[in-house]
Amino acid sequence: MLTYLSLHLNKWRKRPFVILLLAFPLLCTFLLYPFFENTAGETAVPIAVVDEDQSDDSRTVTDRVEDSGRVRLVSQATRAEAETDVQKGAVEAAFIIEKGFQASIRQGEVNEVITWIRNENSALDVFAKEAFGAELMRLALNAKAAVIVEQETETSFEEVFQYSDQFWEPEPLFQVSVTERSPQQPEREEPQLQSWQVTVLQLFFLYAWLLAIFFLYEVTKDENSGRLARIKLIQKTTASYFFAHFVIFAFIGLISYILPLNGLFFLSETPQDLMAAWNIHGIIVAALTFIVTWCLFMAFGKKRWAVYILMLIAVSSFIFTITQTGFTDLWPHQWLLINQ
Amino acid sequence: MIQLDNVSKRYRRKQVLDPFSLTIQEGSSIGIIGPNGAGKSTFLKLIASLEKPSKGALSYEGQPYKQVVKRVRSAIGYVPQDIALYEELTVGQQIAFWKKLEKTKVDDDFLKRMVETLRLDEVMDQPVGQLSGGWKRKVNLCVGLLKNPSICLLDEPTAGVDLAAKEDIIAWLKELHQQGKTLLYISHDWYELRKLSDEYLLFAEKRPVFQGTETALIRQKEELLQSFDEQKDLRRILQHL
Ligand SMILES: Nc1ncnc2c1ncn2[C@@H]1O[C@H](COP(=O)(O)OP(=O)(O)O)[C@@H](O)[C@H]1O
Ligand SMILES: [Mg+2]
Repeated sequence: MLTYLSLHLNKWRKRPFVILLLAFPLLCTFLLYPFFENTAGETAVPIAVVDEDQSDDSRTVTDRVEDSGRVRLVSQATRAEAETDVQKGAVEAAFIIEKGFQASIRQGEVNEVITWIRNENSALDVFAKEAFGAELMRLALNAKAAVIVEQETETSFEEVFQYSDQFWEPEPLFQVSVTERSPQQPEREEPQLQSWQVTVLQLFFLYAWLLAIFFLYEVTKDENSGRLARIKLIQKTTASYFFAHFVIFAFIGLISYILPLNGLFFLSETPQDLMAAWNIHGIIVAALTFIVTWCLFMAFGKKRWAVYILMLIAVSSFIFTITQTGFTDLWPHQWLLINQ
Repeated sequence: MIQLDNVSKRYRRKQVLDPFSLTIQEGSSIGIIGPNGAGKSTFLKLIASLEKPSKGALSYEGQPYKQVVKRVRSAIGYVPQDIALYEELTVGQQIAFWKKLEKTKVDDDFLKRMVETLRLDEVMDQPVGQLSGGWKRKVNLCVGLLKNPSICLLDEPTAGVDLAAKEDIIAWLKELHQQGKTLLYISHDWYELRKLSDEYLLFAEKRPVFQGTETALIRQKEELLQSFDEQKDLRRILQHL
């Protein structure tokens, strides 16, 4: 087993681009992610904001929520207009910054300073709620700290406030819930991956599958050159040869799928639960796919043409799943998906 | 002792060896000759247990191959006609790799002697892919006989080899024969055959048609040529006698 592994490592060391092949999708992810993120920005959740306080602090909150990138804020003049937008579904939800907002939070008072309006179809606005909550809490705590420090020293409120604000970067420690007003509270939906992310994952899977199949080419070379016959004589049986090569084959496939998958999750700050679910599901589906692929390869008699047929199957799986055109239940690319 | 009893071989549609029987005595050195496509390589693969006969059976020391295949594979060293090596590895790495795969313990003294006789130390650090044909053949031979086998099967071990390398290989095979090993090798070179063989096995038209000493072969030469009239290659092979 290790003998075969070191043989292939030895070969690959002399051709470093082979190692690069393994990490290629991961590199692509890091290079191309900013591009995808911008495209995705256009599909960010639209949220209405009514600023009834028109203070420095209310503007700070809306600016910061806007910068968090997951939502697109639509300013509205009145509460009534915002409510209509929510009813029509033009926005996912609305947030009203109540009059007296700045005054309240400078007292450290965070209850009922923002009103959250949503309808039964609102689902994706939880991001916005969390973002508002975080900013609110940050301001309130800073204010509280500033009041205490100001009492003890001669520094001004503004100085202390600015100073304590620095400690919030990059993430707040906890989040506060805001007052919620919703006609019928809908079930909170599980967070999901965005559709572009799913497509990218399917591409990763295609790549990993193809790369693993490409490795099978090494087995056909051993067969054709007579090296396999030699192994048969030396080892008495080829069982351990095939076992070792299956393990390397599956390992190449798994690594080149799991690496970019988590790279993408890392960059898009995907929630832990979602990450774990996609990882576990991905590993199971990939492992099954590779076992079936290997069995087909053996059944085809380890011939070179079998490698091409298998590559064709992999590409078909991707294309048929993406376009939803044929035998969709059959393809690993379909099994790969979690309730999308 | 290896016995072949009514053995024949067929690949899908193509009959490669017609039924034949013969016996290989322990310690004999047999030169296998015959035109291309007569089935010589297939014959060696059958003995090496790399191919199964379509009909008939082989036996090793009186026991059927099927039952003692592991013992057969331990006893046999096989040097294929093609260079079955990893081109990327150096000669040293190559030998180390195959040695590691070997289940039974490799006799290091034997290996050392073989490397010495074939003068492989000179190219130990060179990748096999960059060696000339003669060196590749020698490495191919060395790997095939790594385990100090008692039966050595060699498929054209000197094909396309320069004179110096050929002498090295002949010297080593001679030494193996003197150690009492059984040698079967395919060759087209009478110089080499005369130096090594005490027996010949002539293949023609998909089966062995003669087994015996050089004197016996000369005696039967005309008869054989008449029986296989249309075989021009056979005439060319036997004209040197
Ligand atoms: N694996 C195979 N499949 C089909 N035909 C084969 C195979 N191996 C050899 N043959 C055929 O068997 C015949 C004898 O081959 P071989 O034993 O290599 O002859 P020789 O070594 O005497 O030149 C050839 O015609 C060859 O084409
Ligand atoms: Mg041949």
